[in-house]
Amino acid sequence: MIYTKIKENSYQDSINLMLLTNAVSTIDGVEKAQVMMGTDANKDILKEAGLYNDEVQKAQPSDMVVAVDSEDEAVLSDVMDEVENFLGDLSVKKESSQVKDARNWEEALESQPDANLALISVPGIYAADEIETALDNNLHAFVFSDNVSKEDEVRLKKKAHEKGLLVMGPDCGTGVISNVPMAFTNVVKPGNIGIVGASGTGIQEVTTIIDRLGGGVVHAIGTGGRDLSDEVGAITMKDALVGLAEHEPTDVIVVISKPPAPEVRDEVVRLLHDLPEPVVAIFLGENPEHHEGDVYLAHTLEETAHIAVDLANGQEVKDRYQEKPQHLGSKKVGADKTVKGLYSGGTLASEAAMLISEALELGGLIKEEGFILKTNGFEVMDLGDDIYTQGKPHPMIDPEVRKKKIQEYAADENTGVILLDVVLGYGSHPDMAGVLVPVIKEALETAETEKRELTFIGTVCGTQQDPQDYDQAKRTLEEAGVLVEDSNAKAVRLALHLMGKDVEDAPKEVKSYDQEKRELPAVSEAITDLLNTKPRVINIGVESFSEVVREHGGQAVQYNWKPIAGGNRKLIKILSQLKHMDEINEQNERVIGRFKDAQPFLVDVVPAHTVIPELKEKVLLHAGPPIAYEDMTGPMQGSCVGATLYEGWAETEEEARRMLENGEFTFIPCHHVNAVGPMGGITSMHMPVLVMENRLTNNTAYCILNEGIGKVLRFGAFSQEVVDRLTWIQDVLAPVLSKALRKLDGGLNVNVLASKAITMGDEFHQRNIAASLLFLKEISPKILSLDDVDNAMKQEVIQFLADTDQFFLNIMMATGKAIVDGARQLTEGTIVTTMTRNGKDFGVRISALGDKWFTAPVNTPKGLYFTGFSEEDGNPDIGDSAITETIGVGGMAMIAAPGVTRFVGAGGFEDALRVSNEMSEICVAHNPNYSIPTWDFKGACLGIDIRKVVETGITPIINTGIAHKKAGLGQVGAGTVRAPLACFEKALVAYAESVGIEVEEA
Amino acid sequence: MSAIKRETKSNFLSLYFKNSLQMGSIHTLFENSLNVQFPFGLIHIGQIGMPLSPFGCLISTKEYRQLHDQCQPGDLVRYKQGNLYFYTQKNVIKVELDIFEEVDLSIPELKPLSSKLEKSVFYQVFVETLFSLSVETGLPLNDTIKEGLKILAEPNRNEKRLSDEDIIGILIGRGIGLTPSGDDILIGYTFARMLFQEADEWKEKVAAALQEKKTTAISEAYFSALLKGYINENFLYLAQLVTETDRKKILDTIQRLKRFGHTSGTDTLYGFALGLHYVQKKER
Repeated sequence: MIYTKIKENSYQDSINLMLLTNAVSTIDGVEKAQVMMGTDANKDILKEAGLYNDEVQKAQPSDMVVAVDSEDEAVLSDVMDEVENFLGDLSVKKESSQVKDARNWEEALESQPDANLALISVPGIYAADEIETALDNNLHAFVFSDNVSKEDEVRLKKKAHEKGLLVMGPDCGTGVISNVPMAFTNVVKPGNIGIVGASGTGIQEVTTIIDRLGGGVVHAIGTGGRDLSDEVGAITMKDALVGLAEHEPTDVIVVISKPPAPEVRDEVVRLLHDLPEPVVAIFLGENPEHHEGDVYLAHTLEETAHIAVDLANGQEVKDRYQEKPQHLGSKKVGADKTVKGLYSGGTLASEAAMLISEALELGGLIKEEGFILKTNGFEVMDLGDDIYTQGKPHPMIDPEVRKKKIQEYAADENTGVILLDVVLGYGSHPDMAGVLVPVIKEALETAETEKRELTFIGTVCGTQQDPQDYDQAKRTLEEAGVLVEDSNAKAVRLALHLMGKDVEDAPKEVKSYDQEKRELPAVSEAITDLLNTKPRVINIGVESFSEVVREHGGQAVQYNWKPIAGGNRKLIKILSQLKHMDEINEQNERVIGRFKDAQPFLVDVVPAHTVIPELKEKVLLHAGPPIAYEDMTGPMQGSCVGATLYEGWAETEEEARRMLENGEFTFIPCHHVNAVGPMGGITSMHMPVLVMENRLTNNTAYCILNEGIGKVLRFGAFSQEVVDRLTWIQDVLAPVLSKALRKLDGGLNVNVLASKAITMGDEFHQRNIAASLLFLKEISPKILSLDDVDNAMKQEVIQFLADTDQFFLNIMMATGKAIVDGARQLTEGTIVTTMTRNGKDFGVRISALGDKWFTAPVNTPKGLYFTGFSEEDGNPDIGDSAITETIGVGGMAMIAAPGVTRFVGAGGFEDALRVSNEMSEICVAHNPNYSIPTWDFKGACLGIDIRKVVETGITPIINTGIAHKKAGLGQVGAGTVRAPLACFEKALVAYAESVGIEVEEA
Repeated sequence: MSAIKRETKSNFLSLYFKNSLQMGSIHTLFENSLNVQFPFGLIHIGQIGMPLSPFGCLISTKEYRQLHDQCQPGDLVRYKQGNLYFYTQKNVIKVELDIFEEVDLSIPELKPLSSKLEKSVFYQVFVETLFSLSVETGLPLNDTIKEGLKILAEPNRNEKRLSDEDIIGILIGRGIGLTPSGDDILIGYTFARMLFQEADEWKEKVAAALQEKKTTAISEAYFSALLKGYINENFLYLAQLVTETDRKKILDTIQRLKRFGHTSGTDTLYGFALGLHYVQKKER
């Protein structure tokens, strides 16, 4: 039975996921298990592995999928415990490292402003975008990721070449830059040999032998396996070679590659002859008969290393380097037996296959299903081939596949010799020899019992400086009965010797080369810098790579990458294209200028119909984007009933409901008529509204007055008590406030009041007590000075204002509306100009697209409920009050009101800080009008940018009251709610179309 | 022996570096100096102000600190076209050997002075200090060694129980430290005889003995330089004092040389004094 758990928005790099898969696979009761990110490619792997179900199908690329096959459902909980422990350990490790990680390119570049190299190990489908960004920021790219398309590789390498940069890879598993090991690499002594190589273990075998011979390597630049193809044309190899030619500490250049395309080979070899340094080249698979000028051509990786070391020591190159294997005296195996190679290193496997095939004339190499050689029973496997590593750890990390293969081959009576490699270095298993030995011993014992001949021959690719113990690895294998040779070539020759086939390379003479050296192209400053300084790395992906760089004297900032836009290819493409449109930032600057410079003044309180001509009999305004009565949730419908009773259009609830259900009413979003309304937002013609002028842009906004707490219309209550209060507001509160406001010369300057209140702990959505008091402070003298209002009425009004902590909320909402409508006069840019909800849909508008709504279903707030109520009672998110978050206050400014975080169940001060810091990731600026003392006087967030929202997947957080989902019961709690991502994604797609970007489905 | 202000190198090094490219590695790394092992032998890198080694050079303290802080034993060192490059984990550090001032550390020939040696203040001072030097030497003495050392001062050895080869064999590598006391005595002794051209056969015997018997790499480097006619800068200074009549100056120099190394200076001076005895007696 398949059991799955989806951990939403929980991105981990591939190495951690592999380690995690290994860890959970060993739990009792687990038949098989996989932990992967929910990408389409991974879903295919899970399908093939029989670990797919509907839940997996729903997972997003940034979700972690834990899939377990077990007979016992309870096992899933053990697995999840292990997952949580593992992730917990990671976070503890991270905290102790005390190095601040980056969450995006901007942070990474800010933290490492002189970075010169991006080390990219993200899943292949996202790698091209990251390489491009690296190049755009003038960084070389070391691309560990594979599965980058050839077209992308060609395009990006051309771009890099034009910019004087190197793209090393893709699928560059290993490298050394200025003595710093990169990715899966051995620790090699620094020295005067520079290497350019296409392959991973090819470089590893050559560098480790050089080290053990006493030589040293300063650079080993990987090019990726396709660099020498016709299409790519060896762009990276050529640029790297020219760079090394100019690199003073390099005396000898080594080139390692599989045979290149013929034309590319000619071009590369010609370049090798043009270099001033002697060159050793191995085109694996070729068996050269002579050297040419100062280009020395090797047959094996071992020979390559020997020639390089002699040249590096200023010595003559010998005509032959073939040392005898150490174990030539070992017992031979029968002629009917065969050799099997089980390699974790691809190039080591190729070398073994090549030597066996040449010696026994087996007709060359193949590449099918992990086999490099499969002729007459002679088989060499590359267990690092894609078919063994899709979704599984590489055999250098995980011994399981190899252990199984050893058992299979050892049981085959035709097997005479099994060849193995153990590759040490960063990234590899801490004790691969140790974990293979039990299987080897068992195989040898079984063979002995069955009186069969079986010999294991091994080689350890490593150095004394590697994190593992090189000598111990050799000893471990030897003690288990493995014949250990000190190079792969020797190991293979020993195997052939035991088969009765001794092979010896013919001596090579140096033939003269008569073409003149051509002048080399100039080396770019960036390549000179790369080769002459320690790498300053932005490490995007596998975290352990950062630590290795730092340990060896390089600098590294860890960019905790996760797929942008939730891994949605279509959106990633749009974002990538938008990044190149610099004008958007300028447009956004203008839009947020309107936010910053707005001049909101509260000037009056008037009956709604006097300023909103659309408000007539049986016309109601509501919160959020457009909605029909039948789609409204309970509280909004309840508000409609209340308004109908208040206006006297119906006598009873039943009559009101019948009229409403019969379609006798017209509904208009508040936002369509320059207004906003809290919660249900229901506004009818005789309700008084606050009149807010924005004197920067000469527009006016309206909002009904706050009714206080308890049973109130905005939460859907409609009892007589509610109607009576509305009537009192209409007859007493509104006229008195109107008169008092008119006494203020030019109205009440809200900017001044709000800037004071935010320093007093208000965030203007859930907490308005300071602002309400300041308002009372301003308005009371004016009320008291009114000649035509009796004292009892003045007393009632002042008492109401004093009792109503949230009175200022509605003023702030009117302010927000006045500000955004002023900004909306500009139709450009990607800034969010409205956020609102109607209980069913969340709607946003963006600056470039004017009045157009982009909607998605609302979320239900999470928070604290009044006694007797729970989340089940909560109505989905509702109200125009998210206009406060639109202008950067409310939940966006949580840090301004740490007192509120407890009330909305959002934790303590640290949580408030985290929320506001997170919100600043999706905004383009800070608002100097709202300076927040608890945020080191940083201004509140300003200008939510849909590009940032979609890229990061971070959506605005909104502080909100929670209405009971049934009409008439009012407020039941308070909390926070996230805007749904989908409306921002829709807005982004529409924006892209509006600026002429072709939006294709991924 | 005033402090040398600028970077210097021994003229002996030019015999070392014949090829334009040679690779070595850090052999030993000390607080104030280091040695690099090349295929032909060691080279010593000290700091300005220290006595120049016959197989060495002196660099600024700042440059030395950088090497000291970044190098590890085993790190590769390249000699290329007159300069040294240290391939450390952190950096490739270049030491521009080719612009260093070359100092002649070859042993001068003072044969004409040997006839006047007996009466010289220089010789007298050494006669007087011989006993105290013998007491302070770092070499653990037994009867055989004592006898051997006594014989060293005697030119006529035909009737002696120990041959030159025996004595050299006893001394080479004897004692503790980077330059064992036996080696220092032998170097001081040989140096004295070389100054007065009384060492041709003796040098061959020492060279032959070194083929047979191993000592430390640093001692071997000193022997190798000495046998080719080069000595440490501070001991070379003794050659200039042979005709010195200011007794105090000679005594001061001896005191200063005694402070070189743990007992190295004393041991070398002791050997040197034995050598002077030999030369003087031979002359007589």
